[in-house]
Amino acid sequence: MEGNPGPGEVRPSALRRLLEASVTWVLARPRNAGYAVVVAALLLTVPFGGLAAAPEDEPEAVTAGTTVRAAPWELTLERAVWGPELGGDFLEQEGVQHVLVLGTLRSTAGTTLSASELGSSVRIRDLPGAADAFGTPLEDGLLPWDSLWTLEPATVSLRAVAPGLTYDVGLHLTTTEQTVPAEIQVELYSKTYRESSLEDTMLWTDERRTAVVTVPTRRSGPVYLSSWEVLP
Amino acid sequence: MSVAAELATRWAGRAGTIAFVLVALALGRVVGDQVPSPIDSYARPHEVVASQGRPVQLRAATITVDGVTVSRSFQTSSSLYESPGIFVLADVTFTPTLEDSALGHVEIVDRQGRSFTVTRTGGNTCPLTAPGLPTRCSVVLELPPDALPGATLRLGTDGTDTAYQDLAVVDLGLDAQDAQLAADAEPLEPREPLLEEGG
Repeated sequence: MEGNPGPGEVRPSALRRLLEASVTWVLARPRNAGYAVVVAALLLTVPFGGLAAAPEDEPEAVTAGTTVRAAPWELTLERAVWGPELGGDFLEQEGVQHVLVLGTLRSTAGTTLSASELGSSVRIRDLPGAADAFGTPLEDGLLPWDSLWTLEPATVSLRAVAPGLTYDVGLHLTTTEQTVPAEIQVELYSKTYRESSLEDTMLWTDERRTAVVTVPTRRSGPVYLSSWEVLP
Repeated sequence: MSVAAELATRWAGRAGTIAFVLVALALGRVVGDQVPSPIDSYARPHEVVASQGRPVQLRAATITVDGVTVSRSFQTSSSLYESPGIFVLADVTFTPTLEDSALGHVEIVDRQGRSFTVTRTGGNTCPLTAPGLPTRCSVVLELPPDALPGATLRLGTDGTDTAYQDLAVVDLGLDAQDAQLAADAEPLEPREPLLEEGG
């Protein structure tokens, strides 16, 4: 047939030429085959979103009093008390209100874990002016390393958490605001136990947001019996 | 030979070489993973097993576990602690032999392999001590009642990383009955560090 091909004949012919050229190029050098594999792998990811950031799993919204499994912890947050002075070591400090988030804590790890390990598992949200025990603002709501207390005859700090024991705990922080909202959000993160990519040690890392607990707050004091008694 | 056939032959040869190298690397990795690492064997702590009351000679210290008591609570000069489990107190006599040392590694391991270390301030009263000076002190750890039977105390001088350490391993001699005794026991009182007359 002479003359220009009809519209229906152009595409198959061009496709075939493209295919032949591609095959020749791939066969020309081993390194081209490598490039082809990489391009094919990238094309295969397109239906799954390609190089776009993977959407974060939506954390479970839970009510206060629910036990959340956020490895290596099982944490049940019940309520929070706040006030200028909460007894024990939480004495009055100028310009700050103490906040204690109360609940129970259990470690599911096989070894005793430092209290600082809890820091990267808990973030406090919706608490204006959130700060550590010394009034230093929290970094993105991250719980300070020295904020773990147990509620025993008096509040005493807990340096580490032994496996297999359930502790009554208070997570201590402060706020530079004069009042605390009726509810605060506490985000809990699960971690994975794996070998460090930098050195030959095992560590809990790869935080993944697991749950958001809504914790009711109440003002405590000015008279108190203990940190967890709320008196008028 | 056509150009295409020549290209195919050259490609096949190089692909064969690449495949051989990849298979050799994979095989090497598999074999390497199966062979025990020499580092694991010589970095493993050297355990010196002893019973209570018998001195254990370690590289840098002599350690004696003088006695073990249990309770639900323990008292320091500043705080009273109550455990959701059981506090185990071990009285220790500790004598560095080479250099200034402290009891840097204090651990209880139970039959399930769980590891317990000090959780409370004041849970290790053994201070940094000069060589040749015996010091009497205590360590206090807390564990759940089901960890008591068969639990062993492991003591060393070089901190929490036990690689290359020598450790004194002492059977605590506790059983399920001790959990009952702990419930009614008075608060434990760790002994304040006391230097004994050198011997």
